Amino acid sequence: MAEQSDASPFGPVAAQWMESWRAMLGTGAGISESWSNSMLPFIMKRAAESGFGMAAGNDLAEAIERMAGGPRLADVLDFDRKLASVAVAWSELQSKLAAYHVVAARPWMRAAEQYNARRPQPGGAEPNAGWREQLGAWNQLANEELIANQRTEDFLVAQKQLLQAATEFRARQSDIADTIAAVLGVPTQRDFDDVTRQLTELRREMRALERRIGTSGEPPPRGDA
Amino acid sequence: MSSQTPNKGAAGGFADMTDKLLKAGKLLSDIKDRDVDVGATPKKLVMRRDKVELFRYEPLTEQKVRTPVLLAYGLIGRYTMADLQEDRSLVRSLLSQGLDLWLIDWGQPTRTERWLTIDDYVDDYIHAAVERVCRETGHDRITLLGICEGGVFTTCYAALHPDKVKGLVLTITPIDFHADRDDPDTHHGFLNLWTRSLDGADVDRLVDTYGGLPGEFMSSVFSLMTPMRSLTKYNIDLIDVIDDEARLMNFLRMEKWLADRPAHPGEAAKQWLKDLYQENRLVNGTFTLSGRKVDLRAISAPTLNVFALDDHIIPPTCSKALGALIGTKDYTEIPLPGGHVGLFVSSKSQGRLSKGIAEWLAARD
Repeated sequence: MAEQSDASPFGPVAAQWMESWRAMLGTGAGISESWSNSMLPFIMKRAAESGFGMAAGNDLAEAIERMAGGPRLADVLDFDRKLASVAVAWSELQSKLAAYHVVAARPWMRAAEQYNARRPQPGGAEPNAGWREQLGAWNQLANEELIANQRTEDFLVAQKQLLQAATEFRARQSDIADTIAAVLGVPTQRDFDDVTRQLTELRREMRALERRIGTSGEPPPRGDA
Repeated sequence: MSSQTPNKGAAGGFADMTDKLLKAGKLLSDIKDRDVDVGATPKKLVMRRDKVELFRYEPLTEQKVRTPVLLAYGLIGRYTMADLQEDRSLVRSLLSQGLDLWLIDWGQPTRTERWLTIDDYVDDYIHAAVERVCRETGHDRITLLGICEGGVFTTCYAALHPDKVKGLVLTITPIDFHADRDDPDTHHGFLNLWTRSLDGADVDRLVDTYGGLPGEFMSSVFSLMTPMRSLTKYNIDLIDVIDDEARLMNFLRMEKWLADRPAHPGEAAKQWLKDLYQENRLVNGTFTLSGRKVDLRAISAPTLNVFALDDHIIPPTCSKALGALIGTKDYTEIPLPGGHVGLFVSSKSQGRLSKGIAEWLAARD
């Protein structure tokens, strides 16, 4: 694959602004990430659970209260880190989208140049075609240019990077949704995937067993095999 | 659409367009969803396994080919392409030629089907359907008719279960996923090129994030392949058919089929994109299902391979490659004019496809 292009489609000022914004988000996310990746949140959480050593005694009641009350300091910071990472992913997505549009716009310009070059000049020998004929000619020209462009390395790289950025953004959003679901006691996407995986594997085992003992030859009830 | 005279000018043309757009809006608001019926040929549900259903079509004439034929579409799009409307239906045409036709419908996979693999589709769903058809009809072998990805599934089944397959009919089926490089037409094979431009990790991340290959995502990739057609569909093309009720209903049925694009089950999508599109394992002999290598030389059933000469999605070279790899000596190709979808739904191809299949089957019944 070709290397990623660094050229900003919006010019140097916009590029500088976008870079500053990304750096700011990156720094914020970096701080949160350092915090989250360290043992501090774990210890803070454990300490908070025991009332920071100030309120020992009624552990069960406090645990029940915590379960009802949701996250505390460490969780909040972790959530903050996840929000920041969504913002970074969004910024990256916008950047890749802009880069994609630059590459995707090239064939339109080439088609326009060619179309203008081919148009009959006013006062020329060729009569002007109707608008449908002109539109047809334009469509054909643009179609060829667009298809040719899609096969270029620039286009494929831009599209690949856009897909990567969009997927990353979606994955970060899912992280947020899972975090909120966990706080509310609602099954997360991951929980759902785990359940469906177990279900699929169970079915496979059951059907393999059926075949081994030869029961699959029995005609099951119609419409509910 | 009335033809435009050269001197009518852009303003007159624009006024015509506006009038027709208004008319289109009114007409479309009067047509109900139930009026646009696709996949309407009568059929009876015989078996359900998870979301997969096995149907038997009601005969339209006296049975002329005794061996049952099981039709399998792929997981990208739905089988209704083969039964779009009464006068453009491979299903009806085959029934009219006296075939005992069965259908395996994959239903509407969602994230729940994320973990299903091609192994499950071939060795479980198709195998269960074949066994059921055999049991219902008293045959010990049947004919498989695969379309596109469904053709790959049936090819794999024929290689892994040769004792169950009397005949194999493939339509617009990719076998050599890298043979697009041998197709000189630059309009062909973008899907192959695009898939190879991705890393395996991109496919994994996409599938793991969405739990499958979203239908709308695949739709957008297909739209890219015919860029101007995609841009003019809902304005120029729609206006062109608005005065003709039959053409308008054709247009709407096609739109309904295009919109009915369920998500491709996740793990099966990884195999489809990575094992086959990227690594070309079917041709390399390294594609394994349920722990067994799929060896195309193990296909002993007579095989008919039908492909479209202007197929931009599955280049004809990708389909034709089967001839050099398959085990059977009874191998026939029918190249037909038209594109990937046009082969099934265009008025030009109606009859040619079904007649070719029915005659080939009758000769081997």
